[in-house]
Amino acid sequence: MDKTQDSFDNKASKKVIDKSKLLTIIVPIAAVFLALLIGSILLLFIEVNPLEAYKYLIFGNFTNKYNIAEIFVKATPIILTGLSFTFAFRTGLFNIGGEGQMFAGAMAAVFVGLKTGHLNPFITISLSLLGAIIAGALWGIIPGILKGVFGSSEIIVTIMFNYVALYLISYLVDKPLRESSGFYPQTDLIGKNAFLPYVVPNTRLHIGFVIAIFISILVYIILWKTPFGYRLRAVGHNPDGAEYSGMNIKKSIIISLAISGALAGVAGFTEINGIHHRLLDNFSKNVGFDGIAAALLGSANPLGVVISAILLGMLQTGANSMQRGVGVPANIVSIIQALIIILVLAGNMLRPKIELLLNRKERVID
Amino acid sequence: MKDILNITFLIALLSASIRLSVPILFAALGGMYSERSGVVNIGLEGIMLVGAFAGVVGSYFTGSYWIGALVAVLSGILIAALFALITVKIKINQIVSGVAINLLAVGLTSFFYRALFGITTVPITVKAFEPVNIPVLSNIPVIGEIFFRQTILVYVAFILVPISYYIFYKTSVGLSIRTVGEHPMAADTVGIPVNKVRTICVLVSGALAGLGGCFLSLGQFNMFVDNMVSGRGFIAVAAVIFGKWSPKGVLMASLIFGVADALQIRIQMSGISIPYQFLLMFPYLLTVVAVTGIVGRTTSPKALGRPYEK
Amino acid sequence: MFERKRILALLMVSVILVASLAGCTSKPKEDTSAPVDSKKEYKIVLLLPGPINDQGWNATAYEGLQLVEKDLGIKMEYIESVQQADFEAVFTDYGTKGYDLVFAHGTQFFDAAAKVAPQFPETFYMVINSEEGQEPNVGGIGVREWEGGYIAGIIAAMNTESKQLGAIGSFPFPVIAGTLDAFEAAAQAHDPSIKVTKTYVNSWEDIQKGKETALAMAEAGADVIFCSANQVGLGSIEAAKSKGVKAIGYISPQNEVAPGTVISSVTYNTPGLFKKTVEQLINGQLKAEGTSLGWADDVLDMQWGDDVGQDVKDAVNKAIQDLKDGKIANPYKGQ
Repeated sequence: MDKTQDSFDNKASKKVIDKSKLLTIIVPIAAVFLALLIGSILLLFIEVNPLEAYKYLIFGNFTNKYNIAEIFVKATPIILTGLSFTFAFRTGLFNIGGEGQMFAGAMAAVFVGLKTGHLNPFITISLSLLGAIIAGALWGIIPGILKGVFGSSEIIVTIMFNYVALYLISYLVDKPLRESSGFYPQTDLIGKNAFLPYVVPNTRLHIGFVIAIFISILVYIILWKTPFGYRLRAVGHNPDGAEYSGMNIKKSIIISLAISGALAGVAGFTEINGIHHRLLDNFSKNVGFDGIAAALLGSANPLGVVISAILLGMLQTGANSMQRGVGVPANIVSIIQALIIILVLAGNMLRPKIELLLNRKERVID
Repeated sequence: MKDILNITFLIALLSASIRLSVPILFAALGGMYSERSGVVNIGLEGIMLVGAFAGVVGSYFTGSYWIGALVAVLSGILIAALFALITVKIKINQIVSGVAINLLAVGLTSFFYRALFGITTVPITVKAFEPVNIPVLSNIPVIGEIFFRQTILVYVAFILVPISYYIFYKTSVGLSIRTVGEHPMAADTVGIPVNKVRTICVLVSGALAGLGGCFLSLGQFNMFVDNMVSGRGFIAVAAVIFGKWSPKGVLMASLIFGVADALQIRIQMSGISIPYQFLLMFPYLLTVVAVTGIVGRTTSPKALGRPYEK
Repeated sequence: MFERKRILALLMVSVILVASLAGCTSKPKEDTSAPVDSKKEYKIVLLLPGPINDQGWNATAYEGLQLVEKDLGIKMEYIESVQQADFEAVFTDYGTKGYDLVFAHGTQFFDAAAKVAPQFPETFYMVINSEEGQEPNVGGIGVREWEGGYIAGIIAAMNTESKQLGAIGSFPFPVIAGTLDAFEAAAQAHDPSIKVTKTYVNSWEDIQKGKETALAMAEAGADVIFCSANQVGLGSIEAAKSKGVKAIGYISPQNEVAPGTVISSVTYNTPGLFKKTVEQLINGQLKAEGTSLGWADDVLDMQWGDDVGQDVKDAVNKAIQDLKDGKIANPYKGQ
């Protein structure tokens, strides 16, 4: 009686849970599949074999050590901007300014790298990192203050600041910091000692990746394991309740956006000191928005962000591989990338509804 | 510098300002509808590009630039429909969706252009709009030259301003839109279909942005060139905000940005070397100042950016 | 709760992908089945910083690719819109795949090429518009674009009645700025009273900007406009047409864009450069050095319009000869 009822309930709830687990795997894969399907229509149009192309997209990453390393190279800044968005998100704010904050961090890192790059590596790298953190925090704190004091939407201000940072870099590499040969709009290389050492020889994978992982753990600890983080998240969940219990909302907003900005600033550090070693126009395009996508995919959870960033890195290196391997024009590559992101995010949002639908069907059958 | 006070110079400057502000005006008006209902549309840039391309395609196959404009509007609506589906129905983050739409638009326009026209050294040209002299009015000294000798699309853009004003503030439709943007829950309680209103507003933004893009390709030229929108869609986003989400404000903002652009060209020509990057920053910094409310009160639609769940 | 499941899902997705790689790691297939042929199959790729239909820099490279296929029967691959961050990865990829020749279309590629090339001595990296080379396998072909600007200046100077000219550039890079400076120098050498307005639109694609800039120049009195900015040039030609002034075509033959408005075009035989380089590859003559080419090397050409006076043609031909003989110095004034 009770026992059979129990076991029946257990079986039923187990079925529900299993189905749920299955769906969380199937839905993103189905989404990618759908995106690739749509893409294949375009590919067939220009007489490219979709299967050939997609073989490169998915497996082109893994052909050799260098390409595998590239995945993590691409993922590194996305992890950081993803954490940036996540941090703000968890405290109730939408920081769309990751791109600009990364630029700010990059500017600082380059400046420090140019001036101190001849010093002891440990010193110059630490100083560069510090500079990037401060610059990113600054770029985040201004929207924070504007929101705290004037109530201005942080969404709007951070977006605007992205452009300001973009053009600021354009100016810096054009005039004051232009390389000494004056030939191209970019700065000189930063001092050799400021270059981040490589984790895997003969690849571009630098310790920036390790730093990013370390920071993601840090973010997790801060947000979920400290009273400070708890307070910030409380403000995010329920600002009125938090204010009622005595928390200073304005201060919370400002601190939160400062930290969020600092995280994105570190992305500037990893890209400059690890990859480009100089400041130039239009480096690391779209990393800020990729970070937001990674944060959304990863449910604004540090581990999720890391995994999603790596997947996005795979997508990008795979796309490059596809372009090279089969000669897919760049425009189709960006269409497919956009479709994958949209459909996987859509799948994410729709999954609970799909689950509900399937559960309902099952109950009826039982 | 004495040239600046010369009347011919001023006429030319203002005339150019109008031409430069119209694409922004179209897109910003569209963006205004969307944001008033609560949906941030960063995809305006992509939709403008699609409109520019579609307009040329339409004119190419029918020889009529009016049909081209119609095709531009329809394709703008189509892309906006996708955007609405993603953001209003499926409720994905509006910013990421907007960026994805832009990526999609760049890829799609490039892909279809090559598929239809191949790689050519000189772009395909089509039938396009010509400037029209409004009878009588165009003969008014100074003002006539500046305002009344433009292409028809310019007049369309300007007429949309009072029309939008009327819709927003004098009709129940406008009231619904504004309520949905400020208090979606209250709107829902009163029976206003929140998501339907938002979808329609997004579609309107697509139609207008598409028309704005078509103005570039058919109203200023007679061809499509990859990436010819060159950031005007993003300036339009700033213009909506700087214009405080009102038709009059958006008109002012677009005109100010247009004048700034026209001035910047002439300043650069005269050899005065203000780094152009700062002039490019100008609309965005201005918008930040506007949002702080230091210069006049400003409130964004309260529900801006947040999807509505019943 | 859902979060954990989501993360688990993501983990499993990645595991599945990694697992399938273990099963399907496909090394690039060595084509050992093909018989050893006297006509070697050359693997050549062209890396472009932008799209092939930009009617300018990248379009001429694509034409080069087509020329090589037509005249030499070799099919080259091409990659568009390569981002700076990916330069090294792309060079490494083609080196690993054992390509014979990698064209990099733009001086910005040089640093990355120099860094990666030593690892792949079997692959030759040719950077277009670079005057540097690096042993043993990096070469550069620099084009003295200022010589093109110079000739354009002469044509403009001999066709202006208002004695005012307009020159538009994309970005104030040395190459572009040098072209505009040469334009000005040539015009003033012909007639010192000529005034040249030079300005930069800071874009390769914003044709409305190009049009408005040219309109402003025409309104200020210029009656011949010259533009070095890829597609933006089309905007300036359109503006010249609407104002009834003249224009000089550049890089691509642009006389047909607006007959009657475009006096003539100074064109680049960039496609020929590609063909020549591939021929050098076939004949084993590739040298790891930088070169600088101008009129003397048949890299530039004239597309004469219909109504050009003989005196203009004579003046141009004399200037071309002077340039070939090295009698004229690069008037680039620097920063």
